[in-house]
Amino acid sequence: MRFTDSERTSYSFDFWIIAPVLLLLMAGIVLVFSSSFYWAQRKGFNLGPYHYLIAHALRVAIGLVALAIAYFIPLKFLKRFSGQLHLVALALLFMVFIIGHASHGAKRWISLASSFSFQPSEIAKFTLIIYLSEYFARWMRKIKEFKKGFAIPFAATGLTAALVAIQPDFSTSLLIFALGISIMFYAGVKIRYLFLTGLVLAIFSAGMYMKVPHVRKRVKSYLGERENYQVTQARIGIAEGKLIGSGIGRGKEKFLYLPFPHTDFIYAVVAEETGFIGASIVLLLFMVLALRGFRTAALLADEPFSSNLAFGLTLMITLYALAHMGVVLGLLPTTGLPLPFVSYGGSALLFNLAAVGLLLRLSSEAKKRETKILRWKLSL
Amino acid sequence: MTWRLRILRIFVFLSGVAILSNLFMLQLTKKGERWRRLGRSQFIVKVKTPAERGEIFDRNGRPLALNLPAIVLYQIKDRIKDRKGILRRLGIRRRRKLGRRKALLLADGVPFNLEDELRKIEGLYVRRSWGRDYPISEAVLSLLGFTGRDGHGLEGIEYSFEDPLSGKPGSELLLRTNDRSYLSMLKETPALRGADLYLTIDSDLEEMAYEALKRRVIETEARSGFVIIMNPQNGEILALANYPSYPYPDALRVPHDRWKNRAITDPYEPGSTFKIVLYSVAYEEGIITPEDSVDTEDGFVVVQRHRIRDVHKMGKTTYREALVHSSNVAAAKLALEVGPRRLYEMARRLGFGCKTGINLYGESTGRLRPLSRWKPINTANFGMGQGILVNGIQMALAYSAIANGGYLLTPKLVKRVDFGNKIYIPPQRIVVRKALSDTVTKLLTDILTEVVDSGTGIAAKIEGIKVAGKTGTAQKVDPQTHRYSRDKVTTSFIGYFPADNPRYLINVVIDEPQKGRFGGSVAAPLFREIALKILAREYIELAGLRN
Repeated sequence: MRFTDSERTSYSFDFWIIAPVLLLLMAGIVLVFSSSFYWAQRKGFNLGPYHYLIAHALRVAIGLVALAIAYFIPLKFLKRFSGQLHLVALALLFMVFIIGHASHGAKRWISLASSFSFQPSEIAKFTLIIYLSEYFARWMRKIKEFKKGFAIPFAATGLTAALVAIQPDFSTSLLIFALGISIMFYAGVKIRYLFLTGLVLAIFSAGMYMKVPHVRKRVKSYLGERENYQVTQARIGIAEGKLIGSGIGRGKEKFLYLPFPHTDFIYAVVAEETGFIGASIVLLLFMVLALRGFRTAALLADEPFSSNLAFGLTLMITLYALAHMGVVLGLLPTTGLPLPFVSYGGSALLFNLAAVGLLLRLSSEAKKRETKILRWKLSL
Repeated sequence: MTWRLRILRIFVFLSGVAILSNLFMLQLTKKGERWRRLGRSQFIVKVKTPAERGEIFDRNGRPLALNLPAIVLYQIKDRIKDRKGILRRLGIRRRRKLGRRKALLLADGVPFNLEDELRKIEGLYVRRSWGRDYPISEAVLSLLGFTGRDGHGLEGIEYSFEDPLSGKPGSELLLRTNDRSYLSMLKETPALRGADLYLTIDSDLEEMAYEALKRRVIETEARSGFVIIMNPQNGEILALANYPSYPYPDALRVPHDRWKNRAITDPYEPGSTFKIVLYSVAYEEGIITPEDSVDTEDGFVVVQRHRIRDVHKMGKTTYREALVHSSNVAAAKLALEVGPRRLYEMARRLGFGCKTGINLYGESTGRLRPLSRWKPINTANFGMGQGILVNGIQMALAYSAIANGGYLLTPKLVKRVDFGNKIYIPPQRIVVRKALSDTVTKLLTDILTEVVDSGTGIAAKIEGIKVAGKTGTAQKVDPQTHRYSRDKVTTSFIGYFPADNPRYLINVVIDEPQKGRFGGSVAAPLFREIALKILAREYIELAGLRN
């Protein structure tokens, strides 16, 4: 790897970040096709069984462009406009209620053209991370105070999560909330305050459970009070996989047994078609990504914004991956969450790849710093 | 690395361990078996493939029951468009009753040539099946029976031989999608075709006998009638016809009672044809000789205040003449002399009162009055064939014993069962027992020949061939009064020919004729007609062989 002192020309790609992502993307293209062709065929799309394959490949391509753009965006720019970016995202969340369109019973999407729509919640999640990273970098010294160190970032997080929650999209809302709290925890907010948020969360969840019937249904089935069709099907698929799986393309669950096999339940298809080996490799790739991201955050410890950002972005990807797998395995209540890089899906894929772009950039910064320190040590 | 980051890293790590251990449990331990079993039950369906039913032929290989390829049509609910239009265009008549299930039986017996066209239509499920065709259904209906819509035998031979005929259905294990399409076949067990049945029936004789019977029953305005033709040497049944009868599909719309196989299911009082039992005992035991004289008095005798009459007054005569002219008075007197026990035993020896072993469902045993309840009048009546119930096959077998030198046989209906890979041939003949001695059978044949030559059976006489036979006219019990009716009779004639080496035995029974009231006048002519036709056919065959 080339290295010069000049910041502008020194770019490097962290192998342990880019390799897992590219492997997951490739696996995703194959598995999206495998799990969607029958459904696409039955639906009678123009492209027949290839409908989702081609659409997904296109989104991956766009996502890689987003990765490149994110990599080259100066971090100073993000730092400078973090607040404004998040405000735009919140505005878009409001817009959903006016011009959004519904799917599966919730208004979550905004359409730009007839074939392209996106979820503002994905943007909001992304900008919230940037905003909080910047916020804590700016107010590092007052982090132990209640107002600057807890109330304001908590309000920002809560507002974002609440706007998503009333779409309604509780799982995304919960994840955004968890993400915000985790960044606050990482940045060094007093543990005492964070326990307070735990209380808020508990009240919020209880309210959801009381007020919203489908949340109640999901939780009940999670607690084993009623049979859950989707989890049953996912379990059958996983169990069918055994050690080496049925072979790619040869699974049975996707023949309309398992709902959303190419998005919310794709990990079940992974486990069915590639078996324990494939499923644990996918898990391992996410683990590698998480550890590498956390390491990057640790290396950048003396640069709070970069460190917070690296941590937030890594955790965003990791939390989604863990939640998706947990849902598929029935460890968490059933909800629709995509598996990052693997599931079919536009906005999530786009912003996850953008996050990877930023992570790569941050990792290369970290590497530079490491080298500098090394040189400094050597020069002593 | 700060402690806060470490905690989060541990959290991520533990979550990963939780996921991995769950994967491990489901995929690599016994715990997953429950889910795999559940999966098999939804992914894999077992579809039965019907076996083709065996076909039925007569002794010469001419078809009696054949399979015609046909199609059964199901509709898959909510996937079919314009059902009525499709059916109208193809000219298929829809079945009336439609259930509520998802896959509905739409039509059956659809012509085979429409298959390709029907398979192209979305929402239709086309299954191949077979329809049954009976080329001479009317003549053999009561014997052969038929199959129902599901292809199982409902009556007659089709029912009684259901097991070999039906074969063994095969099965297909199919991989299924959740929208009821099939992906691939995992395992196929081919269906085993049913065995072909070759009956002892001769379809020529069957048709001929049926036509003759039909004409005779209509002529005499009788209620019903049947004809059994068999080979007395080996018990093969060559023809068994009942009238009334109906062609196959129409029979389904008529009550079963109207076309059942009366020859085996409905026992009747035989009348004088049964006198051979009495004379067999008398001769076997040496109680009388044919030339012993007997006084038939003024044509009647009173037993326990019941008057037993003769049709013609005969006065003093011999036992031979008494049988030739079927004297009831002589029979009653002889019966009283022989006594109940010996009569009863001989009846049992000749196969009355128990099933003959014919392989047909619903055979009646007939009825013999238990010995303990015999009074003199019962004995007298028994001698002349009243107060006893027999079925047509029992009667034919008893006469066969006289014809074949005393052997009571088991009737034979099946000549060959062709299982495809192996052929089963039943024994040539099955002897139940030697029931009569040679001398007695010779004597009886001699007297029975005389019956046809100059006695009551003269209407059955055929020039140039010796026919042995006996007429029967039995009074019927009126079901309302439970007494013997004055005008309702069962007339019959049973005989065999040629008398010295019989090849054919014919039992003709005509029930409740309105025109004519004696076996000699109602049944004997029919016997003669059938016998003549048999002989004519034999002659033609012989001539054909010579050429």
